[in-house]
Amino acid sequence: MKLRQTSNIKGRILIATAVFILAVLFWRFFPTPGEFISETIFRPLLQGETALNNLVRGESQPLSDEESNELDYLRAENASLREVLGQSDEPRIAAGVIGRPSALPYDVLMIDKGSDDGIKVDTPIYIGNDTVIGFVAETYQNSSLVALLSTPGFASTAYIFGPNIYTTAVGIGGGVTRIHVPQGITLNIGDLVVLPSVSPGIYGTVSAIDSVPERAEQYGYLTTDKPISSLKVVAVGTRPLSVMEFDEARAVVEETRREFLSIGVPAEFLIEAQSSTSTATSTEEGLEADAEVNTVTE
Amino acid sequence: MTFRILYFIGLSLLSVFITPLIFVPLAVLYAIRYFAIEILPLAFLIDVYFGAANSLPLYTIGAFLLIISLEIGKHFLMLK
Repeated sequence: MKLRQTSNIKGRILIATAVFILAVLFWRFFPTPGEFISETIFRPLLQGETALNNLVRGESQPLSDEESNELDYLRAENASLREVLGQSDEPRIAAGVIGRPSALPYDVLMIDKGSDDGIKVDTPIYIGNDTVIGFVAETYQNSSLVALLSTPGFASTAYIFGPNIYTTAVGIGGGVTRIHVPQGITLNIGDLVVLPSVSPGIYGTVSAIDSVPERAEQYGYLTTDKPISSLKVVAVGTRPLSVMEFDEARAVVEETRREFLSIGVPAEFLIEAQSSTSTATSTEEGLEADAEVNTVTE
Repeated sequence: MTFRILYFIGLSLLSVFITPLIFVPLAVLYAIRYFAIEILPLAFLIDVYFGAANSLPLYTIGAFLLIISLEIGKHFLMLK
């Protein structure tokens, strides 16, 4: 009896080992059939869950004709303003979010556009105008996997306004990224953060600080202004991210600094001399203020 | 058998929609009750679809370790 039980266990362990080895080999060298089966099963489930969520929250009301026309008009106006202001005219693809971190098996984002819609691997994912939250790690036929900058283990170079330092931000999951700096550097909650290697926009703010005087280092926790768990739509860039040199990164930081010093003041409230001479006031190294500091920027 | 199939379908759905903190204990119970070899293909599909950015198929490895350890454990605990 005892012998039969032992041989039964050995048989089971043998079967499990064989299936495991096969699964790992397929995962590593031949994932395409698995990807196809997974997408066929999981994508409809994720889309169904998202649709159900929207239905329950009453967020799936279709736009009226008037609202659609207004949206089209605003899009056209936005495009022309971008052209006038000389901003990047990189086309972007809007994609719906069907899976978010904390609910999915890995700390990733799933979007409902894939290779059939022109999504490419390594292209950036934007929320808002210039904020990159991650990049496309894998594309499937009708969906894509987005690796977030907050995915555990992902490291990116960050610049913190306030202490004005470059440091490394490491993802810890759940939409949170952690920086790790020595004591003595003054971190404040609300300090703006830029990840110059991926985008010129503000990534987010320092939302919490873990600083114990007895410890040689302190931690700052960064989050995006819009929580990643509440995202519904993102924009996918069409140009893959590329490696950046430090000088380029520094230029990006300076550009961002200039941008957040300027605000969009309506023409009726804006008072300035109609002169073409320079009125630069900043003396900070590397920062040359534009001739018209109050230029309406996007 | 019907209960086993329903349990596995429920487990598969939960693996996609909820946090592993809830899914893993249910998978452990399933593996205690049955020889849960079908968890391995499920874990493989999860790794292939959601874990493409990872360097290791964590779910497949986890499922394998779970099955092996519980099969050995069940023998010593005389659960089966």
